[in-house]
Amino acid sequence: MWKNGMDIAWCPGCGNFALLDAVNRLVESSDIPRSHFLYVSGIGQAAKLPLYLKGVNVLDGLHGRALPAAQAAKIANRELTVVVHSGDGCNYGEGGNHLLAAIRRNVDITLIVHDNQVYGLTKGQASPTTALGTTTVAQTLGVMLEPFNPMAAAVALDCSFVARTFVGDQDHLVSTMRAAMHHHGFSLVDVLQQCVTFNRVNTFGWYKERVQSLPDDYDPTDREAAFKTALEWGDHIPIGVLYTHERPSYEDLHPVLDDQPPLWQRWNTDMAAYTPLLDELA
Amino acid sequence: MDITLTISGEAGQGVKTLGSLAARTLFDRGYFIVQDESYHSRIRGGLDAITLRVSDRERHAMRPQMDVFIPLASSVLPYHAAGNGHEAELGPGTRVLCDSASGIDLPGEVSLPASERATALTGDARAANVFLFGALCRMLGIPLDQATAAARNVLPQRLQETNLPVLAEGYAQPVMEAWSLPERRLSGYVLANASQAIGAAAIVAGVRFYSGYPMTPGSGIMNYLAAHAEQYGIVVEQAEDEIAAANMAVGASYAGVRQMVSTSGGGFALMVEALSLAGMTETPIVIVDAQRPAPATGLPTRTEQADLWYVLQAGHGEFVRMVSAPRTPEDAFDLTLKAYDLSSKYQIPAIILSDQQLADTLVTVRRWDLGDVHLNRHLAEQGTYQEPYQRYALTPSGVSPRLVPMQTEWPVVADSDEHDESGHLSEDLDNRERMVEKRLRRQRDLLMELDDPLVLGGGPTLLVGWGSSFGALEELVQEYPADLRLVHFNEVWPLKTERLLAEMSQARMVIAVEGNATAQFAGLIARETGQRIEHTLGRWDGRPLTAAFIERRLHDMEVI
Repeated sequence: MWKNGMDIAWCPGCGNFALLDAVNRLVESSDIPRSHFLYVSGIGQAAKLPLYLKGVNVLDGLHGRALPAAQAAKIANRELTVVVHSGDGCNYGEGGNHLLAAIRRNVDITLIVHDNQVYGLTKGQASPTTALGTTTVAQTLGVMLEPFNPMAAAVALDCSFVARTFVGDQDHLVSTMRAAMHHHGFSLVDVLQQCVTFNRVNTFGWYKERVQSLPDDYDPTDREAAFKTALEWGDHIPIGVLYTHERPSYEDLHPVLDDQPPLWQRWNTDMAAYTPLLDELA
Repeated sequence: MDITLTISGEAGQGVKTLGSLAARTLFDRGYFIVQDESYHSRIRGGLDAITLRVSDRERHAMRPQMDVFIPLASSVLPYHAAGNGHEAELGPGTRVLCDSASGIDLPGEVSLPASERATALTGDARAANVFLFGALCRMLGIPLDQATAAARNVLPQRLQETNLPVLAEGYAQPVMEAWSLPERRLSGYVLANASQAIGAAAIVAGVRFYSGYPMTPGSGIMNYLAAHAEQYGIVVEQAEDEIAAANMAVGASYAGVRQMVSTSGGGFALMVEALSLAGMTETPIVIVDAQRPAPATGLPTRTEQADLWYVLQAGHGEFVRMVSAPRTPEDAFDLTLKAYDLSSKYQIPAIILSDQQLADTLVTVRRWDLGDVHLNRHLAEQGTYQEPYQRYALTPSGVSPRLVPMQTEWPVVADSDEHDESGHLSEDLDNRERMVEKRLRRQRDLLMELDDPLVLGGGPTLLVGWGSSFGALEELVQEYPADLRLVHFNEVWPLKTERLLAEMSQARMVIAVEGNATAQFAGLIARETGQRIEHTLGRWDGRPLTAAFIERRLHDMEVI
């Protein structure tokens, strides 16, 4: 399908289009120059999003492995605004261990998970968030694994920023992603979206009927309340910033990543600096 | 002059301390050292043996016949029996120094009240090692003040006051002075293993980011860099697994820093998909595989040269890589600098094939001249690329000018999917052909950057070797210069074949000598040249090749 002069590989009606519009709005409205953004992705339909952006840096890596690459790029260049876009399979399945470690490491990057509760690009298998009992081409007897709850897992791990939003509400989507991007530390945003081809249960309408913004007096710093909220799923699905814990990021804590220029700019050709290294061995 | 001395005990008995004291003393006295460590994969018990070869000329391999043996536990004696074939061996002339409380009874043994006196003087029987060290120095004809200086250097400050009298008492024992090692002048040398040499070279090359996951014997490099991280501004990150470590390497390098990853074969297995990612995205990365015997967990603390085919073929699809295999710690430093330079210049992964022997063996080697080092990041400068900038611009050499994010205003787009010149995913099949050709043609110029193999000796029998086997082969060819000739590689991929073919055509007999069971390098030569090497000589018991081991086999083959 053609859009913005590009041949876009998504199905007509895909939830990714709303996400792409939102990301474009976010980048356009931001004070950060485009060339200071780095969009990193894994593999899947969601992971193609960075390639449809203009003027930003892109590293489209391996399935499940976007987070390690993104964290290292941020460590290498603190001046980059690093955002990861990838799907539920990529981040909650293949890359699960990296998600746990990224939450613990708390590098200042943002992870946007396109969560449509199904594998799209490989054509319809269950994802970690697919509901119990759902039959698919691969789970012909129905899904027997308990669905992964990314929000509860993130709160349990004391993730620095945990939010959920929905592609059916552009303003909510943009503002949530913006808040995540401006949050200092690792931010997880789970974006509920339809898959028009392979998920006949969790449709746009299904989500639309269920999502509910968190009340104005909701306190995202209350971890126990956040955990309770994170467990809500079914007739009512809370969206918004579920949990925040402001604390120093990995970069803040690391003595090497101090006020000097970003790592990539530190380049020394004065060999005298290394004489002590050889003296040590003599 | 060539003395082999072995200190052997159970893990946790302080073998390392005694070994370090001896090595420091002998190095400071001006002798060339090769210090091998043979140990079991455990924290207490088992075997931990340090063997020092002390010589008045430069050597790079072990000699397994013991001249001096210091056993710290009777349980280790069977490992060192004459003819055991794996560990340093007792011979008829071996002098034995031991603690009278150890219950050891060997011919020619000098039994000393080491733990008894250590306990009396310090309250701690473990100081017996220092007592034995004193006796050893007496045996080697080394003055007490030199031994004391070494102890001050090696022992922790808090132990020195109590331990120095133990040393003096050990030195005062009635031990016959079997050698008299005069002080020699040895300047311009260092004592290093390949983990230190690779780590130091990485720092000199400008490494700013290390990602890895602990795995013996690859962890030595991580530990070395971690110990120097703050001083030299390196972020050392222990990743959640090797998959993360390798993908971090790609992310860091994409963003413009020089990185390092080190592991062993099992960890490398997890890095293979990211290796392919580096190949597709043309991201320079440097990975060290410190080989150990496999398959699977294998022998974690032993050595082998059996990952050659594996690292040559690792990664799905076809992409350019370079593989170097250091001969010695000295060589490891130089090849590490070269790996950084060429991986940046050609935007390819560079793999350094080390092994446990190289990683753990301390060798006296020539100190590197930092004045010879010229660094280049090979990033594109303004005016050397077309605008708008395209990360994968087609060029005659196949190398596209490389920018990193925020180096200029131009965005840098890298993609693991097949992509066009701009870096955007493309399923156009004409583009696919162009991109495959572009990526692969970089190998032509890369090959020209590599050195010819080293050739030694003038005999009719040609030995072919690579990597850490060098020390043993060099020694043997020096012993039999009229019988043997050696052609030895330290850059194994891409493979430079001209010199090898010339040598092979003149040889009466060609024998591939390798630390593996299937003669992998001979197989590579056959694949690349069509020339089969008929005779092979391998070692796969997990111990390093030695001149004595190869010599015995060559005798059996009636070559010498």
